[in-house]
Amino acid sequence: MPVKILCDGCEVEYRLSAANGNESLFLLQSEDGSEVIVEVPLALDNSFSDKNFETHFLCKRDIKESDIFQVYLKDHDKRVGWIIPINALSSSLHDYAENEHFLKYAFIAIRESLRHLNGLIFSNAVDSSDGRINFADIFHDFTAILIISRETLSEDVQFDIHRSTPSLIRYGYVQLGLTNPDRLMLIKDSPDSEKLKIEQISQSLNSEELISGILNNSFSVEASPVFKFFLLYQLFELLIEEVYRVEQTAIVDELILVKGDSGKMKEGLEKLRECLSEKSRLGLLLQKYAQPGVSLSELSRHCNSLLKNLGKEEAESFQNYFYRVRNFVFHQYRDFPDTESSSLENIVDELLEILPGILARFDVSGSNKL
Amino acid sequence: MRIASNLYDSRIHSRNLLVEITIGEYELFVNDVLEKNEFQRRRVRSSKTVYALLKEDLLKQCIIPPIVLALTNDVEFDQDDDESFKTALTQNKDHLVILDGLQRTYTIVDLLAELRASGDDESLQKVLGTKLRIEIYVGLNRLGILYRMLTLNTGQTPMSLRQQIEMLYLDYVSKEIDGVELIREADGRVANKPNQYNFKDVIEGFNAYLDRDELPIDKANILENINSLEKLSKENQNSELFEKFLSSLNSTISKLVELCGDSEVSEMFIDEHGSPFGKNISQIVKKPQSISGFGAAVGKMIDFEVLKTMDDIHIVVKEIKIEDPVAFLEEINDSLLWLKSNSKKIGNAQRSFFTFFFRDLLNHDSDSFRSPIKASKSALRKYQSLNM
Repeated sequence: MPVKILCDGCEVEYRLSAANGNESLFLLQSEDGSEVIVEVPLALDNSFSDKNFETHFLCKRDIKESDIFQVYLKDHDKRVGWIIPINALSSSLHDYAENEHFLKYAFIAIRESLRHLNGLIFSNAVDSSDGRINFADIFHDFTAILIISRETLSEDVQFDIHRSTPSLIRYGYVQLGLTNPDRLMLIKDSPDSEKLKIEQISQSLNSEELISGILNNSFSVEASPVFKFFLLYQLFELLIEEVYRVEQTAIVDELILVKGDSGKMKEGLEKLRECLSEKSRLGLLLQKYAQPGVSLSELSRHCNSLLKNLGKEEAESFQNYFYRVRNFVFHQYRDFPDTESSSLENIVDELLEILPGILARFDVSGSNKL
Repeated sequence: MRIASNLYDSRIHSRNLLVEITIGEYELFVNDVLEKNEFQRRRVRSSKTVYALLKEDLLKQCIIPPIVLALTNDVEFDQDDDESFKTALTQNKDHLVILDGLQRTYTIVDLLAELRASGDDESLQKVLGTKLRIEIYVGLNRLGILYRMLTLNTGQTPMSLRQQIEMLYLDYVSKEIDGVELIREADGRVANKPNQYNFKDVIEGFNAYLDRDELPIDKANILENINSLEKLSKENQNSELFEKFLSSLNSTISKLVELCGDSEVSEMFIDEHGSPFGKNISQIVKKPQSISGFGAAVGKMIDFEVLKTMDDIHIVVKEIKIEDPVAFLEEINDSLLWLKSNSKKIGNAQRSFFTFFFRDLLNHDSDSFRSPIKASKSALRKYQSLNM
């Protein structure tokens, strides 16, 4: 359903019928021709009116009115759009209220969100007894609009919302669907600067929709750190499965070549056995297939602190400390003390920090060696 | 014209007459109403099909639903004599208001203009002679009009919220209270003199006082507002209370303006922190967020018996002290800038901040009593502890 307006207690569908940026006037019309004016207090600029944009509805728990960010693709260091909270589009009190670039994108964000709102996006039914509504009232307070300028994209610079999910989740942004944003459990700080940099999932992986689904639909509404850890570990499972597929193919090719040479065959089989081990593949993942691009020291500190508190041996390498935590959570959760929930929460937070880089740099050719 | 029914509405204390009238007579009564009426709502762009259909129906002498009018002054007429009422109505047509049926009236007027332009005299005479029913409330006061519009009007194009609020308090615009001048948006002037306030901001502040809530007025509580005003009106305090509110607001703001003089935040502060909420004291305390915060704060302090009446404020503010105006301006801006960066809704956060600010400033039990700089800090702390 497009914009829902309450009329005598019933919800009536209204669609955008006119958008006049110079007067900041947006007109909605119902099927029977009744009209409602959408009020916006900003002096919008419609000079981008004829340009080509894509619109995505996002939500972020406790989003602030000043959470207005220019969206950059990290690898290309190129601005491709803006993320704007709904509340900032209905207010002239924030720092961007008179920013000429913002006002151009704000016009597009309002027009496109009114145009693209449908029954698959959570929205409010608005009372319009005086024929006017406040733009922000249409949406939940946690809603934000991501506007991507297609003109900034090219064959080399593509934008894919599913491939961008890990970076958005890292800052607390979740794709808005029908779920009431009040159910969001994910709370993350916004970027420190005015830029929000996105690293997209590598083209080596074709499971971006699955990853996006796990993060947006399950992880974001999960409160328990144990289940959050479990869900994030699924992404590591997915990656090390890919590692296994590539490694196994290479070893089998090698085995065929050394057929008849029992020494080399034994060596090859040993490699295959090693490759079957989940822990080894976790090591290979970061050593050979994907550098996270950020330091692992905090993750190491939090994992080892938890291991110590659980009476387990600490470790230096990623595969050792991470796998030990994984083993305890998966196999010994019954012994997990409530007091350590915050430690596990810290680990989950750190995993969210490193995941965008790992997923973006994953390369099946294995050329991503340290 | 024929009076078909004559009833008394005890809820809004007004006589209601159901009258049969020709479209020709109706046109004479309402032509000026569409031009002059202070309550007049704009003509909305609505379904062309529906009104085109109505025009066709009128040509076929269709009976349309009754149009509801109000006569805002009380008129003398013989209730058994139709002509006496017609004369009274004609003499007082400047006081007519259309409560329900504005779009129907526009359609009638348009149709008559089209028929005159086309020279189709036969159709014109037919329409002019068509009868319609009108209901007229006689001697309905402003509150009654608004109540009637909000509760009984089922039309699709009611007044905007701002118009409703302004209408509720319109009588106060022309009253001079303590030398204060209230400026309406429609006046096209800016409230930039010390004694000038935006009418809309003061109304919001008074409403915040009545509701003990600093947040913007929503549609739902307009009706509650009418109820509270009616109650106040019964106690004959209505006008006095608004005057007291405006006077205490002006007293507080004037004192702060007097203490800060022409002081402004330093250039260094602006370089470090960016654009401030307000460079000088007037730019800070005369904003709607501050006035609403003041209203809610005073209301709450009276509820908690910190203040006995609004008159106490005049005494309290006399002793407010500011040693370093620039330091105070920078402190309050610092708090407001923090809210700007950290609030879900900046406007609401600022209103809450000012509520705490004025509560601390005017409360003799508070550590920040009569100290604006201390109140700037404590108000932010209180906001943070409640919202973060």
